[in-house]
Amino acid sequence: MNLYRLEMMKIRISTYLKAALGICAGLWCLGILFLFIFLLESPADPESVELFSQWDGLFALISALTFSTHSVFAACLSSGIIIGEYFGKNAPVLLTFPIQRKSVLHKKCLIICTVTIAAAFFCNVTTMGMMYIASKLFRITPQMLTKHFVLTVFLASILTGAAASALGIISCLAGWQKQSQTATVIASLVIICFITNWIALFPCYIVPVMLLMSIVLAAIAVMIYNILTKKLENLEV
Amino acid sequence: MNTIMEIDNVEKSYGTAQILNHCSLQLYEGEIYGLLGINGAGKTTLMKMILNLQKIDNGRIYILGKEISEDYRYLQNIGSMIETPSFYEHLNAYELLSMQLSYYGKKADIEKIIQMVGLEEVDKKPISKYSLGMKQRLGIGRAIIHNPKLLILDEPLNGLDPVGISEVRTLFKSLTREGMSILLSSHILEEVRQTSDRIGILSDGSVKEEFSTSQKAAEWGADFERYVIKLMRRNSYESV
Repeated sequence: MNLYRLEMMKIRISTYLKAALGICAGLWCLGILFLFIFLLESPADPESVELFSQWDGLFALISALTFSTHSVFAACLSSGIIIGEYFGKNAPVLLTFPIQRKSVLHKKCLIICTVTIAAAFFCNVTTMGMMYIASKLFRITPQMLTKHFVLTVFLASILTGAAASALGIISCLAGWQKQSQTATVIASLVIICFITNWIALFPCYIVPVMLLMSIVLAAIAVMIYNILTKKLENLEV
Repeated sequence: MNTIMEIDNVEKSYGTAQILNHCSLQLYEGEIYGLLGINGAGKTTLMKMILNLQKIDNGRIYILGKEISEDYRYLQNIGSMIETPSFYEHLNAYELLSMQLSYYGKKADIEKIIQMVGLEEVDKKPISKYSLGMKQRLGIGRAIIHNPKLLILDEPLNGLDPVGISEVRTLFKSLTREGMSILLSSHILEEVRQTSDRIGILSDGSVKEEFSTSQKAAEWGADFERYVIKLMRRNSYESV
């Protein structure tokens, strides 16, 4: 834990917290906007607003957005604290500490996971909370909120954060190959284009979908982590 | 005298370019060794190999009698400043040195080190506000904070004013009196002459000439600089 604290000292965490709050604010606004879509009196395509008429559908949309935004957030974090460190000017100092190189990398990945999961969880839960308050104020969502749904929100939010943090580590491999922080972020953008839609595809099964996605992405992230560890042991500065 | 570091026939190449070729060198306890060479001679590469920042192609390096290999723990006894020092600029000097100590798992009087390197007036300011000279001093402070047995310094006097250079020279001398050994490289020949006990000329991948600074300086007097430059040129021409 001491090494975790030392690695945290190096990061200007306030910058990332501000970014996370900015993402939250954006999703709060979008979430409230989604509620009003249901109020369209004569929609051209009634089936298209079906997703917005139920809490399941709304949550699936918000989760998809949370996942995509926080995946990029995690990629930015990993580009800064992994790629930026090992291929930047601080590398000679970092690599001459009498500590196993993989221990430091492990703590960096742990920071990415904990910060991203916390940010994504907070964002998802508060967005749904804002939407619930707005729906009560404006009386626009017909479906009652159940305890089961609240539990779904909490579980799926944790899984969304886990999946996003895994994707942040996965995109690190592209950054490492190119020795570029930009490549890390672009890799995450490319990956989320392919997989984000799956979240909203099965709104009634959001927890199983997120669980499956988290497991698959976590498995890939662990493989990438092992690859990065081997590369790190042979890294020359 | 105890041998702190021994470099034994070390080789390093990048592709087809041979940078170090059967390079050997010994550093004794309490000694300052000045490494000189033309640009691209391999001084920084050699220092990086000592610090495990570059892999050794052939040969061996021994620190305190043990070969450096995959065991990172020998780095506990080494402090270093390679190239232009870089910092986490949102931290101040005190926080940075405290963090450095934590990585080494040691305790030290941080205020004393800050005073030794002359940063007592700015130690609570963020490093982003420091001048180049201040950063250089902080880099030296970071290298010595954990009381290493061996210091590896690449161009430690860059960016320092004449007062700073004099203070740092005095600091190095006091550190060696306490048993620390220093390997430094510099382009400022006069400073290497005033600071180092021995000088080695790195040329064509190995240390071609090695001599006691005081003896050669006494022998050559005012022509000492000319003598060293001639050595460096002769060795570089011989390689052609």
